[in-house]
Amino acid sequence: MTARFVVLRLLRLVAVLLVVSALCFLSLNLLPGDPARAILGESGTPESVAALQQELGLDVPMGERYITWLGGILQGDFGRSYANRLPVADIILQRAPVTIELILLSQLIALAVAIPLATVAAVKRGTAVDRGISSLVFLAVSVPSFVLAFVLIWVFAIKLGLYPANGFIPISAGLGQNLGSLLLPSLALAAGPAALYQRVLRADLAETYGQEFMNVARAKGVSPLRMAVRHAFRPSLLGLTTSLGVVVGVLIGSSVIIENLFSLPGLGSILATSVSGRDYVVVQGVVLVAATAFVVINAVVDLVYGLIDPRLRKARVTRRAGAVPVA
Amino acid sequence: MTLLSIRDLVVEFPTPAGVVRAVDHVSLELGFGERLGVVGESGSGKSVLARTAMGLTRKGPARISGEVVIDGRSILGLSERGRRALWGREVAMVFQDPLSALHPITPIGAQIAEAVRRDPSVKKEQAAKRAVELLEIVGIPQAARRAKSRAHELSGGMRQRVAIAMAVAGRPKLLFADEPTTALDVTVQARILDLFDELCREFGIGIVMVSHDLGVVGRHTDHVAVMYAGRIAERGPVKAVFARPSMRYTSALMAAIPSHRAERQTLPKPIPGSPPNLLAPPPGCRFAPRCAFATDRCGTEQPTLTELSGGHEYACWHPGQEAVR
Repeated sequence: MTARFVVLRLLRLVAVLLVVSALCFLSLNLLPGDPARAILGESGTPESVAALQQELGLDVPMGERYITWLGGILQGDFGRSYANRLPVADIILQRAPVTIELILLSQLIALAVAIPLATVAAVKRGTAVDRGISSLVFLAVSVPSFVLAFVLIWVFAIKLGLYPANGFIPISAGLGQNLGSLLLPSLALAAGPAALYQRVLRADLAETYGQEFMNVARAKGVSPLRMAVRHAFRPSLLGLTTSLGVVVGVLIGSSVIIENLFSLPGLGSILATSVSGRDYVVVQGVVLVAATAFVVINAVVDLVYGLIDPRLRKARVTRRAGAVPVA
Repeated sequence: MTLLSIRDLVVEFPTPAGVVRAVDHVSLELGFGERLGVVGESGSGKSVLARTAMGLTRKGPARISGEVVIDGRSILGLSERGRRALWGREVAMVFQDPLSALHPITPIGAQIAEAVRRDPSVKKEQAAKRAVELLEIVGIPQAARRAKSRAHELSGGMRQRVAIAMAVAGRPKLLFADEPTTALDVTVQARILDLFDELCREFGIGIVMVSHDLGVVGRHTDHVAVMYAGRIAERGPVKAVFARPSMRYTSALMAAIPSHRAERQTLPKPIPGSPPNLLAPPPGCRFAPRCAFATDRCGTEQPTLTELSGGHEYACWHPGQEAVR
């Protein structure tokens, strides 16, 4: 199944990327505003703007530009930034690690908070403990990440002075320092997803706890902790895996606000700068990378389903082969 | 010595509509290595009786009174932790639907090994080996290979064999089996019941088999207790009860067993009506509204258990073998 799976996924990836790149290219180029004029600003004369347009290749028709751009990507050339003439591929390669680290750290924090809370809530479902956790989670889900970011900055950086309000310390300066500089933004990005994960996992766990095999485990004399970890957890992971895939995929292109607030040199902040500077080539490159990541992550999630529950792997094969499942 | 002694057990479930008394003053006894069949229609309280006797019924949603003693230990007085120490090692249960009773992802061998390892002196590798032995004992071919299978890869009969292997893995003295063959094909049923007989004979395990099928219980148990609407209607040695069913509900159940013998080929007679609503049970004999022999007395006065012969008791004002007038 794996070879077929990979080929199908790759075809899907190509299709998605074609659509995404076309839509992205179209919408940016149909927007009012012109990169050359944006770069030159007030001082630009019609002649200098025209000259710059020619230099940047903006004078050729849109369709032609799209084809050229696409052709370049197939050879690994994402074009050069209109603003500073740096290769877009270099910009992305330089900034992607920051965003990836931020997302990984934030989602690890989210899972570390959500999994124990979901388990406790599911075991104590219907009690005051469950309701208490639910209210907490509801609070976390209703506070937007940027509001939380402001609160964190105000408390930890301004009031307590424990923390630089912004700035990214690269890994080369030490892992501890590096993680420290990402801690507040990670917390801000973790709260919402943690709430989502807790709700999804709690619901799946509660359903699993209602199943007969959990009664059987209890009648076997299995301890409550072992029941939660060894019996209930794995069959309850499908919703959590799906949510995790979607959240991580979305965050790659949308950590803009948090990256800006904390002055992190990631993909999100360059996306924001490039949009306002009409630096379309960079925007297109970042969007394409984010879309690719989204599709790849969700393909990985599909593979993970099969690892979590081997029955799903079998079911998919049976369905595709058109065979009747044996009773 | 008695293995299981249930005395005056009452189990009630408060619901928004009122209190449901699922088990109503039930007393039963079982000796070591004996087999007891508990028979009744669905809703008669037989499953609740079995689960409560094992200590599985949670105290929160249920109100329980009476006493259950297993091998000298009072189960109902123990905490959840105290009961857990007995579960799987002194007393175990086989559930009705083996597919939902087995873990969907964990291989069956590991599930059995987990039960073996309730004994902390058993090492991991020993437990895995023992799991394969247990699979052989319950009659699974190619046990070593099968141990790696998951529940969905097995047939219904095999799944129930696995569930039985898991239940006896901790060498319990007492095994509850809650409708162990109901979810299985008729052809597989007989073989599973034979397996229970074998476990009882070879390992001296006492078995309480809950079933709606009086025919099954008759062939595979030593004693039988017929339950109706939470109460014992009749109980005693299987032979005595089958020879002289006295409470009219037992007689009606007997008449409802299809007979395969040529000379007695009569159609089974269904029992008219349905079991009473446990929120508002009839004041006298619970079976009176469906009974062909009911009189005014049956409608007002509760019959008590009366001894007919050695250990054979019935609760009926108008005992007899005929189910219809």
